[in-house]
Amino acid sequence: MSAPRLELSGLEVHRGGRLVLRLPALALRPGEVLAVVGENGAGKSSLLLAAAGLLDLAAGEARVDGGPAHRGRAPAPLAYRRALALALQEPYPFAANALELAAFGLAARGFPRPARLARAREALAALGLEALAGRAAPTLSGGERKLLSLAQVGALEASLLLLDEPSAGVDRERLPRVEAWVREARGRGAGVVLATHDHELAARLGDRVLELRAGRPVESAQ
Amino acid sequence: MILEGAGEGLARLVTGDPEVWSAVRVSLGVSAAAVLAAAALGLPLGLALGQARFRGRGAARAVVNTLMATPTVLIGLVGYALLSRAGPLGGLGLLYTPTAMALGQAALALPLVVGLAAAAVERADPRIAQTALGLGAGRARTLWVLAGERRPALFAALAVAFGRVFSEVGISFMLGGNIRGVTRNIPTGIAFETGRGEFALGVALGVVLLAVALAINGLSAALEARAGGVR
Repeated sequence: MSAPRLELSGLEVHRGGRLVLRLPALALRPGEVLAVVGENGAGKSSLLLAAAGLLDLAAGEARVDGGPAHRGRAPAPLAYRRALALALQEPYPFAANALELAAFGLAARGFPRPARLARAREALAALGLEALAGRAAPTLSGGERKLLSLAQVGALEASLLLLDEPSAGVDRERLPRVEAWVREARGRGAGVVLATHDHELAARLGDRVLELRAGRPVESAQ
Repeated sequence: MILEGAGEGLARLVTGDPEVWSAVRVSLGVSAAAVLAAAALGLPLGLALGQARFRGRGAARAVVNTLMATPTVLIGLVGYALLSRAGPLGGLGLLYTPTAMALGQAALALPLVVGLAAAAVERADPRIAQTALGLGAGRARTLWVLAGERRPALFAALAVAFGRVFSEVGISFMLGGNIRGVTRNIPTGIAFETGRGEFALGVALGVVLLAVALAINGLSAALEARAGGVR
């Protein structure tokens, strides 16, 4: 049996001197979608950032695909971070065009330019963003930036996808495309953790739903 | 008397007085070299210091902040001790050369560049580094991305450093020696000519000093505005 896509144990995260997350154990199988729901400040983003290896862990550890662990100080080792890809809740509008941005993670992994641009184009197309390729990110709408951040993740074909509010600001017409995109990632065996306010979306996409309240799990459904 | 001097000073400026323009050339050349050197060393150091997390980082920042206020005469004194004939670097024969002035001014600019570059990174939107790291970028690439997004602030840091070294007197006097046509720059020229009662030359040089400061500020503000407009 293969190692879990994501395994968290005894996780404790403090931010600004306050405990924001305490998660005794969590394991995500290959091809599993975990939907994390909860109020603002419940710890959803902290969970994603911690799993991405970007927050200090006061206790516990995280592993992706049974690889090197993230424990203690952030950022996690490069080998840990390269097994996953993270889309932030509010993507930062970098002063570059959408195609270059979609290729960013591939550039970081040393892909030669033609190869990474070809893959970035595919990643944009998978979300219906072909027309945006030449546009500068700061000129995109909030929803378009959100989709672009998903394309940045998609280009990497990572084992673990961490998606913070993937549907926020996205047009109603484009939402089915985002959902299909998540299912496709699951279909190829990736693990997906997505945080959302939308309980219906969580129920539709999530193989499991984790509800957080004040940084702690409330219940596990399904 | 001052008004009279001002009129004559402006006239000398416009007519291309060699005395005035030699000082301007020395000032621009020495200060540009000093800031370039400080940037080459200080920008990477400052970026790393702003982003890195290590034990003693607070102490390192405090040291840099303190050095940012180093009096120029102190740098002049240390530089003189090092470069004078009896000093450890006396054999290089650099004392009273433009090179010595540039080295001293670089020492003045370095902590400014490091401190301001570190501050630029510390004040950066956390999403910049989160995006880069979350997509698998290494530390160096993350710093590069941060530097790119904070370009206006980094340029402003260099502008501040240039403004500081361009107008300082202590280092230029002590390491340059105010040799006419060689190491006499705008500030030492002003001090020297005023001491002799030659207000006209002083005023002419003062006008150039202000004009260059204005130009650099304008450039810095324009860059800031351009970057701000995109967001």
